[in-house]
Amino acid sequence: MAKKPLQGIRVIEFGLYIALPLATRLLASMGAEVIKVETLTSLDMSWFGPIYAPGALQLEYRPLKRNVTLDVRQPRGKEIMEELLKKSDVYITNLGEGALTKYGLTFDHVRSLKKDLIVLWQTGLGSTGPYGGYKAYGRLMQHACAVSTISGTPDSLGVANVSYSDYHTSVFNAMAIIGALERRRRTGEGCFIECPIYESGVVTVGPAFLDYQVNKVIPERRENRHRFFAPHGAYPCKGTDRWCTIAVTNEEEWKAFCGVIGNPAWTKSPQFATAADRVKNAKELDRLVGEWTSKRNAHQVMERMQKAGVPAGIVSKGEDLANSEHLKSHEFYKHTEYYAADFNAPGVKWPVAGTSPVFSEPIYFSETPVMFGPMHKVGQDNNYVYGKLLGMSKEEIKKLTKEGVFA
Amino acid sequence: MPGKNKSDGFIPRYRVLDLADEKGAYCGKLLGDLGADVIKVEPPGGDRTRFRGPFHKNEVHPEKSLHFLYFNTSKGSITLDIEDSTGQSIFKKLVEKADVVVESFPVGYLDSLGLGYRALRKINPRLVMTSITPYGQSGPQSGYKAADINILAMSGYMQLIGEPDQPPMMLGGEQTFYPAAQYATAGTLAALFYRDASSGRGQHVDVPMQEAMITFYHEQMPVAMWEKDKENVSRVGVMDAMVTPCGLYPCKDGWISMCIVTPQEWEGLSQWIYEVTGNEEILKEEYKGGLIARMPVRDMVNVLVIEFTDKLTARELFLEGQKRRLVVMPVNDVPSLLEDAQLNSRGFWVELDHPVVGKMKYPKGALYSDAIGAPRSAAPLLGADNERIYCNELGYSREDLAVLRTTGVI
Repeated sequence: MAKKPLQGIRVIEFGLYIALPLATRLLASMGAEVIKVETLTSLDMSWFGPIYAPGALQLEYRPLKRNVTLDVRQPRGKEIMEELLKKSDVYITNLGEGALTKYGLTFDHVRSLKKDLIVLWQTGLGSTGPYGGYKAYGRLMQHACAVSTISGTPDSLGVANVSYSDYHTSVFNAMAIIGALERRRRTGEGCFIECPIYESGVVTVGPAFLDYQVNKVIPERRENRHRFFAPHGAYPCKGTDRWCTIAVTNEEEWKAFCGVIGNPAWTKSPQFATAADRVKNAKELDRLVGEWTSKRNAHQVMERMQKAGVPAGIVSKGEDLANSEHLKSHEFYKHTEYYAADFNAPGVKWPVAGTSPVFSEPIYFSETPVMFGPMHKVGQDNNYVYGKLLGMSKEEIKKLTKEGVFA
Repeated sequence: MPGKNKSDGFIPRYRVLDLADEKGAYCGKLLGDLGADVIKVEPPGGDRTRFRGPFHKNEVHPEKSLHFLYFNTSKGSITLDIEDSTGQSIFKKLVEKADVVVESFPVGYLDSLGLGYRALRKINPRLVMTSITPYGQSGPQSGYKAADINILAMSGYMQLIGEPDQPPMMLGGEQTFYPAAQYATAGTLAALFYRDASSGRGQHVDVPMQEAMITFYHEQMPVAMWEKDKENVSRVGVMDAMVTPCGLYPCKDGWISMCIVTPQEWEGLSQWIYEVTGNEEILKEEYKGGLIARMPVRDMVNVLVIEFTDKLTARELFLEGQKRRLVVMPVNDVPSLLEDAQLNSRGFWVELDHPVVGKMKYPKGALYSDAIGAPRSAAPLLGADNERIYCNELGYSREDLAVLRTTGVI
């Protein structure tokens, strides 16, 4: 097997939810050895998702990682965590300052264990300032970061059924760690980085920040209409809840668009003559476009528009993604086994619950393709990590398991 | 400050040639903000995104596009017509000394100019070339054109935005320009790290925007649900369909958002609600638990929650809720973020001066560290670095430059 970009880099992951494990999964896909440290004595709610296949959600977060159980609340557990950190290159956590202090794992202490350790702390609203230490979930960040206030209809905010900025945070985490590794390669130095979920989302408000400062413009919620282009929207197609988006962004595309729909007389109307006219009369234009699309199948609308060079795309549902020949050609979805949580049994005893599809990664390297691999059971790598990496004897591992340090 | 010299930057002063339009400009910005020496390579008339609104004081002018200004901090600019044969040979000279080329052209365009990855690799085997395109470099839809809304739609993200009985909604602010560019930045850095630490060779990094967006909502598992139940995940409106309470709630002076996930959080919230409303109903045993425990009684619980949120202001709910370790967040708009006490206390807003539009506040970025600086400079004027690059680096004389200018090459 060819070498991978992050081969030889060991990452200790200590935390929960979405942004943190997704970031380390990306690092693992590039060859890093990621060791997820967790304890089943404190429940990770995400094992219950989704309700139609509990456990399958974990596939998003766990491929290629090594899983160990460790209860750092116990003195011996804390010591073992320290030994692990001494043998690692990167430490990433999203635990709160209170918990980390209680465990004796403050960042000053952790950084004193290994001089060139790269430490990343993912926080909610940040660690300092008036809201320092406040709790946050990515889903609510679409509101705190103003994105929902610039989306939707004039009367209601456009809300996504998504943990919005968790995903931005996950890639920022990974980006920061890779950058820090490059810096360490050059300087020999480790560093401490904080990545708040809040700021990860705030940056996506974009040029609107500048527009407000100099023009005092607050973005209007304009449904699917664009401030500068029309037609621009999701148009109804044949079938239930079927839509095709079309975006006409210049004159060339407007002519091509008119050609596709057969140049009906209304396209020559002065109310649609220029881009500015079309934006001004977008509501009427959308109605007319919708009349044409609603008699047709969404895929056909997309294909006919694309053939003429007009940007268009269906509003994909799960079935469209599952059946997409394009995504299949990239082998974007992989199928692998997942486990059903049983909190009365050790993780290694949990049964296989089925197989489920999960994305690989949206980065295609020509020389070092990202890897995808199975999800390990919780605690599956205790022997490797405690035995091989830390040199503990089988008896010691057994003893610590019995004492609940590895639980 | 990052990248002040070779030894103290977060990332080295990698030379990045940035040919990307709105689909990929954020990648060059991130690399530049982190310390790389990013040069925007623009057609002599200016990059197309210089003509994207909104504009400073609403004046259409290549130095006044607020879109361009936002996505091009910490970059330099040269002009070069890469469709011209002289321009192409100059570009190849630039590539000899470059670490990275970032581009977002339609698939095959650079190949048609003899400037595709295979050609450039021969000139500089250490080159990392990063392509950010709607659907990637291969596959049946790789030639499809897309604006922001089309990518949001094709990824399936749009299916999840808005009210259940209404059309799917796009997100404002052209949100698909961020995720792929972020992945591309991480991928580019990984390719550079691999080159410098191990292989000595560059590679091509291909990032499809559709797939980047798919991963940005994957907790909803659209394909898994389809394969398992032949059902599709969809939009649910302002409140979550499973976790309760979770979403937007009306309050005394607007909206508040909250999400209660663990049993402990429910204990905390239900106690607080009882204190405020005196309604014992909220303490009922059947409402207790975490995550999806309240799904069967969702409507009942939401009525009780709204009865409570209605009595308090957004600020009271936010501050007192957080004091009680509950995830309660305000609904901010654009002006309130610029004024936000938290962001300001963290030094998030960085003032950058631009020769034409003057001083404005820009986000520092999402990362805080002594090792990482802030954006170094406002977006460049068109061709601001022509002399530095063409004369000082490539050795052209001022006269050569004048000739290239009159012949329209630069």
